[in-house]
Amino acid sequence: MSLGSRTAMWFRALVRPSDGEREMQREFAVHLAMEQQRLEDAGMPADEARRQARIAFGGVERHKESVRDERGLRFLDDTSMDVRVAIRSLRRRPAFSGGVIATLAIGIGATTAVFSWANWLLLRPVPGITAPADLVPFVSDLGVSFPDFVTVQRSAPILRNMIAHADWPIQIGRADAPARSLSGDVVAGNYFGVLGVTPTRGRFFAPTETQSDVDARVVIISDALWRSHFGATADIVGRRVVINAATFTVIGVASPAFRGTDRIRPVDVWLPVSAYAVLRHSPGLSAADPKVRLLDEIIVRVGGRDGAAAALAALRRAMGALPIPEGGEGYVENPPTINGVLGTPTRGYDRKVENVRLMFGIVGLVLLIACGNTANLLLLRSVRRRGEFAVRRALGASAGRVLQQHLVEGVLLAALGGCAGIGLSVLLGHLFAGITGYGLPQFDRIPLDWRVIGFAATLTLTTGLMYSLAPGLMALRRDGLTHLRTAGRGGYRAAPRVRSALTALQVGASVTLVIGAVLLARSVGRLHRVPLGFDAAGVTTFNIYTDPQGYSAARLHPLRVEAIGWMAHQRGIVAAASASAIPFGNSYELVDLRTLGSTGKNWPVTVIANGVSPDYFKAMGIAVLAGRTFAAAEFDDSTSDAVVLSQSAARTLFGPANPIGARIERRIYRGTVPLTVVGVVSDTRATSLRGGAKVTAYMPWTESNKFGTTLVVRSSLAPAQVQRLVSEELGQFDPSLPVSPMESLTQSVNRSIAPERLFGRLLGVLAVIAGLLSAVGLYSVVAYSVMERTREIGVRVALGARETRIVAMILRQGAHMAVAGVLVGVAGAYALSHVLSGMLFGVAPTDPSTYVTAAIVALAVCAGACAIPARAATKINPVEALRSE
Amino acid sequence: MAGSDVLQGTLDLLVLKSLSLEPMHGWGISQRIRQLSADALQIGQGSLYPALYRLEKKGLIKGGWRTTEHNREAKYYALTAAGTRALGAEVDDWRRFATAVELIINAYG
Repeated sequence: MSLGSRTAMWFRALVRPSDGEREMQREFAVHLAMEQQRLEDAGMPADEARRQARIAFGGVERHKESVRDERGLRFLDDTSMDVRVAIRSLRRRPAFSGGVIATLAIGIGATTAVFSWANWLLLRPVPGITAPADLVPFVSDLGVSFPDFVTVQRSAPILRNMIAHADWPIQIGRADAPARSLSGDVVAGNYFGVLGVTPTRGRFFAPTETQSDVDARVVIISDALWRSHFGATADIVGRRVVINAATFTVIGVASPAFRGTDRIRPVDVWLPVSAYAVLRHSPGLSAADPKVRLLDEIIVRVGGRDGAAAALAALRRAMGALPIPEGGEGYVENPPTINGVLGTPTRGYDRKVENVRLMFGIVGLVLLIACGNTANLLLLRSVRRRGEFAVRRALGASAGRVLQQHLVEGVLLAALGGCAGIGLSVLLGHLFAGITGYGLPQFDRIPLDWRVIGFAATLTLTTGLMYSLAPGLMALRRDGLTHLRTAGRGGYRAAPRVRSALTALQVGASVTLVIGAVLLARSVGRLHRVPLGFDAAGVTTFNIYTDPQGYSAARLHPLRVEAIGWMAHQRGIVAAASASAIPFGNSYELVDLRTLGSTGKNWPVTVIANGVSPDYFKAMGIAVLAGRTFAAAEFDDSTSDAVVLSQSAARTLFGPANPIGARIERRIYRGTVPLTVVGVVSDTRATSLRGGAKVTAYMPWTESNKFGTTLVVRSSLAPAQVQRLVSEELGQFDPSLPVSPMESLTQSVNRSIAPERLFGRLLGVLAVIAGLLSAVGLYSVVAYSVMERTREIGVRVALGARETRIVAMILRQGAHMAVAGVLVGVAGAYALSHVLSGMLFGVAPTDPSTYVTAAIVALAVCAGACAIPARAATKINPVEALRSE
Repeated sequence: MAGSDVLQGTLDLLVLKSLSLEPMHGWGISQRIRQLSADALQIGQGSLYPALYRLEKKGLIKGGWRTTEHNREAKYYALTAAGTRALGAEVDDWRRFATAVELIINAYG
C-alpha cells in the first residue's frame, strides 16, 4: 500500500472511525448468519445453531482487535483511546488538571507575550526593506545640512549609497475639515533606491526632485495612508493634497510593508528635502543653507563584514573636514556614531528596550517556576497512580503502552495549557504594552505572528514530553510484579535531592519576585505622595498645534484669547487658560535668567519659560505666594516685561530679599531682554516626580508661544463634554485646525510614572502567582514524601509517637527547602538589586525591611503549604498503613 | 477450536489456495478449507479475518461486496495477479518445508 493511501486510510479512520469498523461488523454478521444457516440446514434448532455459530467463530471482539492490528490502525485506536482515558482521568481530578493547565498557561502565556515583544522590538528587521542587515545608521548630535550631506556623499566610494532623513510631523487635510496629524519623513539622496523599496503605484522621487534648490512639491504616501485617507482610490497618482496648508502632488505609493526605517514611528508621507521651506512656512529658510542641519539620521548601505567600520571612518573623515558655519559647531567635537541596528530603537528608547530585557528575565523566572511545578505535580500524580500502572502491566500491557498513556496525558495537558497560554498572552500583551511603550501607539498592534505561535507550540510540546517522560520512565523502571508488591511503599527514590533543590529554587525565585514587587509598590506609593505644586484633579488639557498650518503669532493669539474667553463663560467650567507648556506635557522651552546688571557669562538659573494667560494659576491651582499674576492687558501685549517666578527661581536669584518689583534679564540669541518680577508662585513638578522640581518663569509671552497652544480647563464636567465644547468652538474659528484628544492632568502625571506603576502591578501579579506556584510545589514534594513514608509513620504512631512529633518531622523536612529557598531568593534579590534601581524612588534597592518582610511572608506561606501534608500524616491510621503492604 | 491448530503462516497459504479456484466470501473460505482437508483442518472461523485483511493490505487479494446465491450481501475476496504469484511461491516454500520435516522424521526409521 502506498504511503499516500495509507495516510488516507489513517485519516479516514481518524475522522470517521465507524467506516472500516462498520464493514468489519457487517462481514462478521454475514459470516455468523451463514454458519447458523448451515447448522440449521443440518437440523439444529435456531437458538442452538446461533450459539454454535458463535462458538465456532470465536471471540468477536478479539478478532476485531486482530483485524485492526492488521489494518495498521492499532496505534491510532490506542491513541484515541488514550486520549479518551486521559480526558476522563483529567476530569476526575479537576484540581490537579486545573493546577497544571493554569501553571503552564501562565508560564507559556507570559513567555509568549514577552517573546512577541522582544521579537518585534529587538529581533525582527524593519519590514519592507531589501537586505536590511547591510544598512548602517549613523547620527551626530548636530544633525546634517543638505549641502554637507551632498559633499560627504561624494567624498568616498563607500559612501555612495548614502541617504539621510528627518522626522517631520505634518498635517494633511482639506480646507473645510480638521486636518489629520501625520508622521512625515523628509528624505535626501536616493532614499528608496538604497533601501530597495519599490512603489506599488506611480514612481518614487526622481534625482532632480531631491535637490534642495528646486520647488518640487511632490510626495509619496504609505500604502496604509492610501487606504485610510484616500479610500484606496485607483487614480491616486497625480492627486493633489494639502499638507501644512500647501498643495503637493502624490506621485507614488510605497509597498504595503514599508513604513520607513524607524519601527517606533511608522511614516505616512515622504517628502523631498526641497519641501523644507514650504513645511516651515518660511520662504527665507532653505534646505540649501548649510546652517540648516535638518537631517537627523544618515543611512549607508555597505557591503561585507567590515563595511560598517569603514563607512564610519570615511564619514568621520569627510564630516570632520566640513567648514564650520559662523557661530556653529563642527563634527570633530560631535562625531557621527553608529546608531545601533537599523530600526532598533536606541535613541531615547533605551529605557524601554531595557524594560523588555528586564521583563524577559522576570518571565523567565516565572517559566522556570511553572516548569518545575508541573514536573513535581505530574510526578506526585504518577506516584499516586503507580498501583494503577502496576495492575496494567500485570494484566499484560506492554511497557510501551504504559509509556504511551503517560505521554498522551502529558501532551494533552501541555496542549490545553498551551492554548490557554496563547489566549493569556494576548491579554498580557496589552499589559506589557503599557509597561514598555506608553505613548508608542503601534505597540498594541503587534501581531502574534507564526514565529510566536511556533515558539509557544514548541514550548508546550517540549514541556509536555519532558514532564510526561520523566514520570513515565520511572513507572517503567520496575516490572509489574515488583510494582504490585511495592505499591504503597517506597520505590521511587529517584532523585529526591534534585526535587528538593528544584523546590527550593522555586521558593527562591518567588521570594526574589516578591521583594522586587514590594520595592516597586513602595516606590509608587512614595511617588504618589510627592507634592505636585498644582491641583491636578478636575483639569483637562488639549494641544492645538498651529505651526504646521502656518499660523503666525499674530494669527494665533486672537484664537487663544477668544477660545479661553468663550470657555470661561460656559456652565461647569471653573477656569480656562492657555499655556505654552504644561507640567508633564510633551515639550517646553528653557531660558537662562539673571538679575539685571550682572555681567560675565554667569547665568545662575535655567527655567522653563511658560507663556500663560492670566487665569493659568487659577486653572491649575498653583498657589500665589507673593505679588500678583498677570492682568488681561499684559496678555494682549507682546512687549510686556512682566514675569512671575516660581519660588525656588526667586530664591536662587534673590535669596531672602523681596523679589517683587526687581528687575531681571533673560538670555536670547546674542542679547538679553529685561523683565520685571511681579509675583512669586509655588514650585511645580514639571516633567517628573523624581529629582528636584524644575523651576519655572511665567511670562505672558515666550518664543515657544508661537508654535501652538495648550488649553487648560478646570471644570466639573466630564472630560468628554469638555472635549466636545472645545472642538465645536475651535471648529467655528478655523475648521481646518486639528485639536489633540483631551487628556486629564492626572493622566499626564500618572503617565510619567506609568512604567513604575505597571511594572509594579505586573511584578505584584507575577509574585503572587509565583508564590502560589511555589507553595503548590512545596506542598507536592512534602505530600509525596508523606505518602512515601506512610508505612514508616504508621510504625512510629504504632510505637507511640505523638502527633506533634509527626507534625514536627514533616515540617522540618519542608523547612529545609523553605529556608534554603528564602536564602537563595534574598541573595538573588540582592544580586539583582541594581536592575530595578532605576525605577525605585525613596526606597533603597537593598531596603532591609522589605527583605525581611518578604522572607517572613515566604516562610509563612511555606509553613502553610507544609501544614496540609503534615496534618494528613497525623491522620495516618497505623493499622491500615501496616496492612496496606 | 476443533481439529489441529493451523501453523502460523500457513493460514495465508490456505486462504490463497482456496481462493485460487474462484472468488469466495469469508465463511465460504472456512468451509472450503474444512472440506478440502476432509475436516482435518478446521480454522477458528474468526481468525480467518485478520489473515484476509492482511492479504488484502499486501495486495494479494481484493475484496468487494456481492450478492450470494441465497440472496445475501457478502464480501467476496478474489486473488489478484500478485496473489497468484505469491501462491506459487508459498506452495513451493511449503513443499520444501514439508519435505525437510519428512526427511527429519524418517531419519531414524
